[in-house]
Amino acid sequence: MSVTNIGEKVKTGVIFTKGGIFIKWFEWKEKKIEIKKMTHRWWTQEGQNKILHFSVIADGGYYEISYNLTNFEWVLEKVEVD
Amino acid sequence: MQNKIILLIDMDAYFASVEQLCNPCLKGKAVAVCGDGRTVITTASYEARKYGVKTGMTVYQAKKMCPGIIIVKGDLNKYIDTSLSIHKILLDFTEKVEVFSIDECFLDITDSYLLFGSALDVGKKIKQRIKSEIGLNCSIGIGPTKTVAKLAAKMSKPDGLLEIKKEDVEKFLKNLPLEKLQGVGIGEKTAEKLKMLGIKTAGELGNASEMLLKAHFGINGHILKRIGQGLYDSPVKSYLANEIIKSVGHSHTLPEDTDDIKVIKSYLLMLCEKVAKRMRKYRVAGKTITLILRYSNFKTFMKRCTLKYYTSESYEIFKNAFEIFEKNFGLKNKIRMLGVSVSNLITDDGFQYLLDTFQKKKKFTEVKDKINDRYGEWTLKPASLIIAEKFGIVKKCAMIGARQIKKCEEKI
Repeated sequence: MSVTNIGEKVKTGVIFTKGGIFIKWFEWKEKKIEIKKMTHRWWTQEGQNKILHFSVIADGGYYEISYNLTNFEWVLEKVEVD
Repeated sequence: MQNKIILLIDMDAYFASVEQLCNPCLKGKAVAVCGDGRTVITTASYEARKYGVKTGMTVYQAKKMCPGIIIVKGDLNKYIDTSLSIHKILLDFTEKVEVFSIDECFLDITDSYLLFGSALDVGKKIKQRIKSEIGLNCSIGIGPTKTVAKLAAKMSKPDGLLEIKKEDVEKFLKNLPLEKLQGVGIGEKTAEKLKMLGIKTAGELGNASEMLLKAHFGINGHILKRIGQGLYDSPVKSYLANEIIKSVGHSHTLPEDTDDIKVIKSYLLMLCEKVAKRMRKYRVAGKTITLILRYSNFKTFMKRCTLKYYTSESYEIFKNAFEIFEKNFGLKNKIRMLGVSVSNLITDDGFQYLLDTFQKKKKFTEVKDKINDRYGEWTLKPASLIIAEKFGIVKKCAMIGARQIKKCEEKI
């Protein structure tokens, strides 16, 4: 098992509810990947940019996705696929 | 005087547990977290510890002991933000929460525990909430002093809860070997020295003559005796007090040990830039500059100088820190870690900018900070920082107290 840094913008399906953000799916390599479970979330700050990070479990692996609250971009940060 | 009730919350194998929380595939497996570009283990999961894997071991040693071990690169931001979420839970029980390190907090619940039942009930509720809201396990020690609470937490690991009541402290300490007091005020060398004096247990230390202890350990003799009696104590600071800034500092372990003066200079400048930026953010200026240096043989040195004026200028801090380096240290050995801090702080009300030279510097610094705030850290930087970047710049350093930063960076 090894984690690979990706850093690619991805299209993401998300529900904003009860003050929380819940990712349902994202598209990567022309494939729609359904999220099974969001396992953890944390914040970072780069300059004035606040970035929310999510670790998620989906079919076939573990992913880290970030959401930039300044430019509203979703980025697939890391992937670990068996 | 009211008996105090102190809790120590100690997260179990913290960095490794956060990684197991993020990636459940790692649960139940031997996992070790190591730093960026480093080959040293910072934390190992309990599954890895069963094989003898310990903090400070090299990845090579760990793999030899536990061939199936999974090595994960640590992410300090993730750990710091998770810590802050834990602090929020703790603050629901008392405002007297003292952050001791990234994964340890002291709580003084003397005035609030009755709201929740007993001290044990508070411990149980904290454990439940950290487990259900964050997903992590912790060990909690309860005692009448910080030292006893820390000892209790240490004894209850992992995922335990242990209360040592005031009336039981003497009995608890009586036959406790000195080794168990390591990390609670007694280091390895002190323990060795005490053994040479015939003191092998905490109880014996508590009963030892203060004169004898003072003769061998100076003023610390009194503290050692109090530790042995379970009486050594200091108040738990409130969470807000943690935010009162006494010094601003940064330290970084280099990606690899070096004796290249250009790299060292560049790293030092980078640290000074970070320190100065935070000082300006907090609107403080200081005049005591401390340089901390660790050589590759782990020998650590610290030297400080006090200026005639207050400053929050990165180049001023750098100039003086480098002067300390040249005068006192030099390149006796390869350097592993560098740290700079500024203390003796005052609120920066702009008085030094009355001078023309400072005015120009101030304007330049303001513009630089604005650009970096808007477009990200290091967008505008001194050209010489490129050397540090090429060597492997460390990007992440969160805005928590200097002491905590030092502690977590020592772990990473």
